[in-house]
Amino acid sequence: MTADLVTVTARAAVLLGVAGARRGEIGMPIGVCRTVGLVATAILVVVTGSGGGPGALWAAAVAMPKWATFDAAHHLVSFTVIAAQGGVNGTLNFNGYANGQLTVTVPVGWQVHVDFVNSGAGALPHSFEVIRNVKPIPPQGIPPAIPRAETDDLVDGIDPNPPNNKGSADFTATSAGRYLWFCGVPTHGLSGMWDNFVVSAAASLPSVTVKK
Amino acid sequence: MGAGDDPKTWLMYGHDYTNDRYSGLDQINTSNVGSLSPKWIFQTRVIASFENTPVVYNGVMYVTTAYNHLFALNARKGSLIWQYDHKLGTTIFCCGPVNRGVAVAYGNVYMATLDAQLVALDAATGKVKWAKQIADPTLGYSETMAPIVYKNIVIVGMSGAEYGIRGFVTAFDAQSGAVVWRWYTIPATGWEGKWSTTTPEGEDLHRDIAAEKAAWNQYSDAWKRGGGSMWQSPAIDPARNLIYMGIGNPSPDLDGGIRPGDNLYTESIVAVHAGSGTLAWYYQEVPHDVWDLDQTSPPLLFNVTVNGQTVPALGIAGKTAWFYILNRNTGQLIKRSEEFNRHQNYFSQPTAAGVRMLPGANGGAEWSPSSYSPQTQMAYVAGLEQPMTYAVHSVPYKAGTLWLGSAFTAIPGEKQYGTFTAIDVNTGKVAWQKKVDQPMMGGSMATAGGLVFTGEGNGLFDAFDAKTGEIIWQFQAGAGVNAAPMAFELDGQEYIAVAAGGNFQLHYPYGDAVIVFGLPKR
Repeated sequence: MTADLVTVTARAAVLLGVAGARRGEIGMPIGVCRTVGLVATAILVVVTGSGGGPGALWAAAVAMPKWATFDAAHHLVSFTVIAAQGGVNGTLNFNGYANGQLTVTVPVGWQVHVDFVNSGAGALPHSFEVIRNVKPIPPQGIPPAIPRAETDDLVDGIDPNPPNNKGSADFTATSAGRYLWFCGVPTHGLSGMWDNFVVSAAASLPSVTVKK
Repeated sequence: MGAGDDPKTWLMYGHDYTNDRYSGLDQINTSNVGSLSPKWIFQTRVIASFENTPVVYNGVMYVTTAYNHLFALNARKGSLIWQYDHKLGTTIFCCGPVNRGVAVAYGNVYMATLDAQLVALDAATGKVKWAKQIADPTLGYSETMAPIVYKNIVIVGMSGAEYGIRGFVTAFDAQSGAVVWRWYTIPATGWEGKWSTTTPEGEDLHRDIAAEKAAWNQYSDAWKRGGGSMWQSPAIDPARNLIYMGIGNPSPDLDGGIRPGDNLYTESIVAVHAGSGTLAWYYQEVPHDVWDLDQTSPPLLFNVTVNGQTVPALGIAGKTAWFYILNRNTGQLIKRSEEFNRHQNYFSQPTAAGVRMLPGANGGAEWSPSSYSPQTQMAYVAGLEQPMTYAVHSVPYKAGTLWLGSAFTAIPGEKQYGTFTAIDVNTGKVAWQKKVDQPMMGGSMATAGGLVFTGEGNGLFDAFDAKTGEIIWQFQAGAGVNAAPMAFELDGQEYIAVAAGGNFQLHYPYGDAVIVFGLPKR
């Protein structure tokens, strides 16, 4: 399913290259069959190119999450990653996703900016880093697989009190491969606070996949 | 080894079996504490949440840190004698990689570990004599408390009720490590209790008993994942051969809809017969808790005067922000103190949108042990004011996964602070209270010198006049002082020791120091 997504995304990128000079919310298709209805619509629009021009295409593609934006012209992508967004997985989640439910793909060579927020739900500290897709999941934070792809206080985490404390990370997705978004606070990763992060040589634009 | 009543030593986590954290030493007192200064500092190089109270026996200080490192130090000068670094297996824990201390007896040092083992080491060499796996850590079982040795047994509870465990307390043979008895904090039958609509003191819990009873058949096996941690060391009354302990929250913490009933013996103070591990009595502070108001602060024993009669009592500070005083023969309430933190919107049922309540999920009193001075007949309670929003939605149990049943969240912009409160145990009234800038977590110690010591998250280590609450000495330790202090005597000199290493739950600055204070040489 992920391979299909990459294919669709790459084809979509050709079309979106027209509109992609605009800066704004990522309007890219979310692939995977088992996702929300709007996504299927977006993919259909992109693949068939029957959206009535770039403006319509952009409008049809807003199924992309609001927490992701990109600038295709400058190869920049930004994510707002909220730790403990609601009670999913006992609050051990990124943007409400855990245990690899989420797959975020960025093209190789792009600059990635992450605004990281600890919502405070569950009153636990959290952190963010990109690690290799390793098994077993590490018990706590390890050196990031991509330089600077980590928030401060990786193991101690960002204080949940007061809620919405922030951190950030800026890095370049230099090497293609499969990685994880990972919380470095001890045992959080073991408990499922990880999602997939793909640096793709095939992708032309970022995309987000949700596995139900 | 004696029972810990020698004032020169500090033989167990709470000083002795009363758990009262009262040192009979008086060389350091209200008249000279102003000249107290560090005598030595030991840095463990484990920079993480530091909740240990050291134990001193026979001139050796035993210190544990986060991740189960154990240090034996020369108590005179702080030099390392030996070090044990536990090789942790799989560990899943909610509230920091902490350890609170050891027990020392029979030539052994006993430490319970995050990966749910009980390890016995040779006290002289630090070599492992035996290690026993208590429970499966991949399911969320873990150990943070200091074991207690009583007669021939080592008593250890379990943490992990945030993961749907079924809690229990185990007595191990102190020599061999064989299991002598096990008492489940969650009974296989009867955990529905009395379907109480109020607390024992009469506050409305706003339960929908009809709905709970209607759900009973569907969730009749919820006790198998019922929670019931024992976070802290018990008190023991040798005259009655009873072990007293505080039991924590049910699982999942906030979602009561899938665990109908009172959820015995969660949120309870219980007494268990030391010889058999059978229940003597219980007192449930919050039946069917849905606010994570677990009884985490440990019990302490003292006597109170009731109608002119001396009554053997047990005191315990709740997350509920009340100090409970029970008859330790019967478990009946003698008195509940005045509130030591404010109550607002208390016992409102969580909703999907969230409901505000004060105290929040950290209390009141968190795991911080209280102390008691027979001189003042006051208990000293570290507390905190931290309003929280409680939201709930139902999620199914998944082994080894944090299972809160949604979330409690501090409220942006609402003032938080700490309280340090002296409670007259005969009247239940607040004798004095000091407010500090940050929520308090760590605990206290009282001494015969008329002093009570406690620490703050900002690194201050404080000494108060135990009678009046006047602060008469402070030391800036450079990291959060979030551990309960202790006192001991060597070569005729009294010393005060405290761990300064910050706190995971409240994110106070980390460090790695054990600081030992004394008076200038006379």
